Amino acid sequence: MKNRRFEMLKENFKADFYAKLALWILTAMALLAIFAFLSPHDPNLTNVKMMRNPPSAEHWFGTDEVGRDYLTRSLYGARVSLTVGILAMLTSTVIGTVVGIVSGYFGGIVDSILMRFVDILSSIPWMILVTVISIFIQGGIWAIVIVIGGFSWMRAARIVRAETLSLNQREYVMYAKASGQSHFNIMKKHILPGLLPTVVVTATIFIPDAIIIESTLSFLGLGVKAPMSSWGSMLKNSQSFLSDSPHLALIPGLMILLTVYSFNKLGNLFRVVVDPKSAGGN
Amino acid sequence: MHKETIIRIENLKKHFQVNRGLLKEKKILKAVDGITFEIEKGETFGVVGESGCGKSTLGRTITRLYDATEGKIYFDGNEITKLKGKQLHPYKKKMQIIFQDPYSSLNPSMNVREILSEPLQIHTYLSGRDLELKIKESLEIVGLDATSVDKFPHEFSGGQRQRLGIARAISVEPDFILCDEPISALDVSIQAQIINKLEMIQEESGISYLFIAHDLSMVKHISHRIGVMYLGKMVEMADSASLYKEPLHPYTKGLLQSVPRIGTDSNFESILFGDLPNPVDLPSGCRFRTRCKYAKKICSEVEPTMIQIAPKRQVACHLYDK
Repeated sequence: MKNRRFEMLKENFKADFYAKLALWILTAMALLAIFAFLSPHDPNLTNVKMMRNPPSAEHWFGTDEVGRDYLTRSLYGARVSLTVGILAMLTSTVIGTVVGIVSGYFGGIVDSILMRFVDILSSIPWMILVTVISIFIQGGIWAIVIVIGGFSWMRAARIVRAETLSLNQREYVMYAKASGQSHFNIMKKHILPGLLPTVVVTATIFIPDAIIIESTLSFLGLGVKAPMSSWGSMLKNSQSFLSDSPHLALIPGLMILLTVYSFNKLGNLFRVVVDPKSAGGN
Repeated sequence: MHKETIIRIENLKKHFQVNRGLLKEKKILKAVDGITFEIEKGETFGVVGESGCGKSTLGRTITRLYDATEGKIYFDGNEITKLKGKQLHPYKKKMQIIFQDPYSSLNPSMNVREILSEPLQIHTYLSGRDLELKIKESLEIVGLDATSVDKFPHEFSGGQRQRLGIARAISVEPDFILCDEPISALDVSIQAQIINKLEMIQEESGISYLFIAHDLSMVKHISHRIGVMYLGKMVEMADSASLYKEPLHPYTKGLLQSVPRIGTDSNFESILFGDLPNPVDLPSGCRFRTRCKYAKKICSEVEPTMIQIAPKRQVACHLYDK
């Protein structure tokens, strides 16, 4: 069953030009972010003689309002955005999966309490919640990861719970219960493996959300602190020069767009393979 | 009774609450509604009935997958109805289950070794070589190749998977196995093989079975006694030979009549008609009266009780009132 799914994924991937493009973009983005230190320019070195220069042979993406090389800053920004996206995804997936399994497996009062807690968290407007909390928790990139991951696991928890409810009715789970297997082992050996495809898809789809949230927070000035750059903070700084130097806004904007699009594209590909009923639609 | 009993249930009930919307009243689904019988050591007790009559719920309540609403369950003379956790644990070794769907009863992400070692690791201290030997021994008993321990369930056919299910159940040497429609999902040719295998195991180890099925022809072969269930109640219990030779309850007659036979006229007048009534909204008096062509006035007023007709022969029907 697993193998057939994998074959299907490979076939779908080969047939889809945009999926291949998405993978290329992400690979390139990741490599560039990792090897950003190879850039000849210092991302934090200011130069008052070269403020807001348009793209040139020396500075491919031009320079920003204090004369820093914009390409280098974008690459260091990619580091922040990708790291935050992936770490927040891990945090959110782990919390969501644990809450979802426990809730779906035990049911009854445990389920009611956990799911009402999820309802309460979900009912607070997300932006306000995260904004207020990130004012209290400060400390750079880790704080952002905790804020994003710690308050966005509700959707994962709901999906995992629904899937657990269905797995819980499988006869092999019933057999394990009838044989006196411990709850922990049933969840670990019988339920978790069945959940993996769903969890992988939920996680992949969450990465672009996390990147956008990070950009939003940084845009609002609640994210990374200067001189560290992220795509969101670069967008924010470019606001005041939008008419004079539009490239300052366009470049980080395009970076966000491409990355988010690529993650979404791949996530969608996974989703269609795991859940063929939802096939179609990009 | 000269033989020892392994399982005895008294007036066993399992009710489920059915919630139909927030404001509507809560209804009770009486899946098992007062059943009494016993199974002797080395005996196979067959339970037959249409889908949805509560057969599986009965089996799962006896094996304590579900908690009984009322009544008592005795295993080997000890009451296990209310036992929990550690106290119940030893009985989980003595009572094993074989399920209906050989595709959903084996975890697709585990190989044969992992599947078969699960009950052994819970209930025995076997490990390493001893565990491996025990697994291979169980595989050989059910007629599977001992070299297939590294294969995954999807590499087997339906019949082979069902054998794996049997191997898993017998590996811990239980005294009682609940066979929950173990052959319903299989080809007819494979059904006979599985039945024979179960009979062979019984002859060798003196195990008892509770054999649940909706198909009368196969149950006849394996069961010593058969109980016919209708909407949560037993309507007739008898040894299998006399049940087939001379069914008493109109429902049993109807079920037997519905078994297709070669060479008979298909224009017979069926005793059974209509569908199962809504199980949350049971008819008054006898539950079967809405589909019974012998229904009298008393049937809608008084619920019939089990009457002893002959030794080992019980029926719940007003036609046999004295």
